[in-house]
Amino acid sequence: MKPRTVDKIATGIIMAVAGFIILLLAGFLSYIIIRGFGHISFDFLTSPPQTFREGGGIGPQLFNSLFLLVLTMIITIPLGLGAGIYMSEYAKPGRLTDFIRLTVEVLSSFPSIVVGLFGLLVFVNVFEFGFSLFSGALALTVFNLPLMVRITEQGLRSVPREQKEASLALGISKWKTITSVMLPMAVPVILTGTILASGRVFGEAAALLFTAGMSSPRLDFTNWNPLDPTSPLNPFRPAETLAVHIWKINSEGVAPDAREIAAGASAVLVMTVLSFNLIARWLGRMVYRKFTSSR
Amino acid sequence: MQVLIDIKNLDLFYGEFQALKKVSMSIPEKAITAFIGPSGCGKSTLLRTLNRMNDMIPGTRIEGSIRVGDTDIYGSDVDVETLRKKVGMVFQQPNPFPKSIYDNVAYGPRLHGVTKKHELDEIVEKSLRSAALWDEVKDHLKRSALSISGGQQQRLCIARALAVNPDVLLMDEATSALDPISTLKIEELAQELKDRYTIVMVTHNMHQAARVSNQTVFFLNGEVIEYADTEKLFSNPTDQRTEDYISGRFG
Repeated sequence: MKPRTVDKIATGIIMAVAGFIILLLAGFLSYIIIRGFGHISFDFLTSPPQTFREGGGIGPQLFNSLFLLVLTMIITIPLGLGAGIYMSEYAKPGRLTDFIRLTVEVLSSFPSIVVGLFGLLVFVNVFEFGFSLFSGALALTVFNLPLMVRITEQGLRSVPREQKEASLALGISKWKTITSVMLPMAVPVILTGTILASGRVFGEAAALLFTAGMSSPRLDFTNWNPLDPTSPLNPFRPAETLAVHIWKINSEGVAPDAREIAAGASAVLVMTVLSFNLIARWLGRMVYRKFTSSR
Repeated sequence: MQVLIDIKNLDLFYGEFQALKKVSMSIPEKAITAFIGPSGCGKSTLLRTLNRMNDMIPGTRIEGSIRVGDTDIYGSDVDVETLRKKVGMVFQQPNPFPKSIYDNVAYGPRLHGVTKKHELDEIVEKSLRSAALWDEVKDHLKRSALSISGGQQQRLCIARALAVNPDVLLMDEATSALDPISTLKIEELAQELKDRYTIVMVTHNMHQAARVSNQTVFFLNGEVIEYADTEKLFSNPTDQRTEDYISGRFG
């Protein structure tokens, strides 16, 4: 065959595969959103679920998901940044570094249900945090940390060596070079990565079944004392998240409108994750422009 | 002339490879010394030992001694950051930070503890004037350093290096990425700066060495072949290899 024909065929195949993937995605998204969108209302988003009657909402679950996300990120970001900075700037090539890298890789390939069972064993039982937001956040940290480390490492490695040398050559210490030249330049990559990781956390169910639990106590949204058991801000209360709620009503929901609620909740979940992705892109680009002061 | 940098029997290894062999030389202060030689001859390596930028390359080993002023810079009590403040560097590619022109120059002094606005303003203006850039940028100091031309960027990098008040300025092929006119400006600038600073430059361009420097060192395969006043080295070299190189027979 002529090289030109081969080229054309290859291009055609690649285009077809790409098109198929886009179609698949568009199909999924539109199916979920069309089925669920009609069910979404202000009431649906704010009212508590009903076990037997119609008209339950997903208010507490939505709140739990967002709150859990914040908790998880509060734990994950400092740890991930620290480890990422170490791996990229301080770790000397050698056995130890290879071992740490292998550990991180293995950790990231753990099935999330295993992470959930680990959380049940360690956080819920051994440390006696019980079924709680805190246990859930720790489990999600285990699940998310490898990604965060890799994102930080990638971000720092994307900073040109010349920039680092310029700072060091002025007699600036390594640590100050990292914090004042390298991290600001890495922020767009780190920020984008973090938001994408947030999407993963937001949609996670399996790791939470046995850690954050499958129930939500009656919450009093006027009580903002984080130590009170009915307060939504209490991190030591059980909390069913949106993804877990979808799983639960799909498998054991008895309310007559369970299917509609599942569909509505799925649409909310998908749209939230989607908007995380869009925000990540937009914010990353904006921050990049700001830090490089390019127009 | 007073000697500022004194190098004695310097050997440098990258792992097994010996990049510098028994290099000894005395570099006078407030003059321009140029290192010339073909690629891989060790001239940049030597330059980067003078502010210990080679420390970052794993597997680098050094024997012999380098004194800058009274300090043995590879001595155990030496603070690398203090050394690098005294021995500034300008790189091959202009590498301004993606910050404003002002912030680029103010970066060093700021992180070394200058916080008062009027002091920083003063340092920025003085450094930009020394780098012959003030008149071109004084009206838009807030503009991104990446928005000015390559030649201006390189002078900005010189200003940034001068802002921490060094004694020595190392120029690592600082004009090789620039056009002829920008190159000329940097050469003129170097001539002005040598009254106040000791300049050591690595250059690929023999004509540049001949035009600008007071002393020239010719390197070959990690050894110093000849070190002489520039005029003498280019008009009447002692070593046959120097003559071959400057007359363009190799390299």
